Amino acid sequence: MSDAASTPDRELVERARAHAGTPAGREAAGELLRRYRRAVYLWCFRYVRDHERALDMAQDVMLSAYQRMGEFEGRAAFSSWLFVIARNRCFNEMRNDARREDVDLESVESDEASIDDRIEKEIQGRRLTEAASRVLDTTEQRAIWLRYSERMPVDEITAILKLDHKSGARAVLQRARRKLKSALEEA
Amino acid sequence: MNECIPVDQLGTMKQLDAEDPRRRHASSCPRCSSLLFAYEEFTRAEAVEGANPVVAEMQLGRFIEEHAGAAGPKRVTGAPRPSRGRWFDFPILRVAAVAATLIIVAVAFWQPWQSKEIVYRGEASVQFTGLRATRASDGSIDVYWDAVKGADSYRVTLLAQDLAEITRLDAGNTLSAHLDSGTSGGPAPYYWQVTALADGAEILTSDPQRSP
Repeated sequence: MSDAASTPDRELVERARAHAGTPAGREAAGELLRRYRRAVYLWCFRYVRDHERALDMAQDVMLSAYQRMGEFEGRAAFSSWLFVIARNRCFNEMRNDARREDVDLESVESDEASIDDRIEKEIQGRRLTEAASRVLDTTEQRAIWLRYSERMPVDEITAILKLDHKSGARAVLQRARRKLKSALEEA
Repeated sequence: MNECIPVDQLGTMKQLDAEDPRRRHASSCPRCSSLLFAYEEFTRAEAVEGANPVVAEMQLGRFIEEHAGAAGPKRVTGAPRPSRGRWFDFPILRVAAVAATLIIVAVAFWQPWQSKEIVYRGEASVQFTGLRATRASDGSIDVYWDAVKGADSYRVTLLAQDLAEITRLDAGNTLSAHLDSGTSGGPAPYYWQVTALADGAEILTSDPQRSP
């Protein structure tokens, strides 16, 4: 199995499933996980900004993916399946984190607090999605979704969207909230 | 939102024809396009300020090797063994060994004084089954596993977060072990694993299990 490194994900998934518990199956599963270990670690790091903690979370993701490899039916890409696991792990970490960053929420003016709650509740709803596509530009849409759906810290949104102005994603989020508030009130 | 793309399908979007309704939706829907953007950022795995991906890759590589290496998770079966000695070089001893094996096998299967039904506790398997752990309010942990065919005793090993061994606990021939908070005497165990033994030799070791 020396060709594992150049084998497409899909083939490795098939090997890992077909030969589960054997050296060939383990090697295929190991190669799949090795391929994405950097991505998983960095994604976790974006949420916690702490090497040890991100490493801990990444290990959980790897272990979970390895143990659940048999559940993966292979209809989706392995990378997106792994992304789901990593994303859920990050969500749980944020949920359990007493130090969750809410600086941007604290800084919003009181009349924006209600729209903030509303976005949080309706982020998956059709009405908010339609309003967002109507009044927000691409950067604003991404900032809103990364913050409210992906629960990403504001500083990371600044980095991931490569916003180089001083106030970063904070200003984009505030502008987007105001636009969404007007759009939803008009509707 | 019914037409929105499930997260685990994001990886297939680029393979779709540009006119495919799902791809068109993914590019026009704020939710899907943002999610797709997040997924692409995940796969791009660009360095993040303050992160240490080189060290992380090394440590995770070791972690993966422990769990999913071709040799299996610390499986002793198949590992290099000490020299068997030179007795096997003598043909007469070799014949005697074969004869003794045949007699043992014959006796094992011909037991007229016992019920014809042979009942094994647990399933014969190449992997541990029934691994579970519960934590009591006093912090103690009870771990359980199913019987492994051929095993006459079990050993529980407690591991730290980096998989370094903290301590071992002889569980005898029971299928559970009680780990109180003072069992390890060191750092809190992060993982546990169980090893099946036959005549003192390791025959199967489970994957490390996360402590509850």
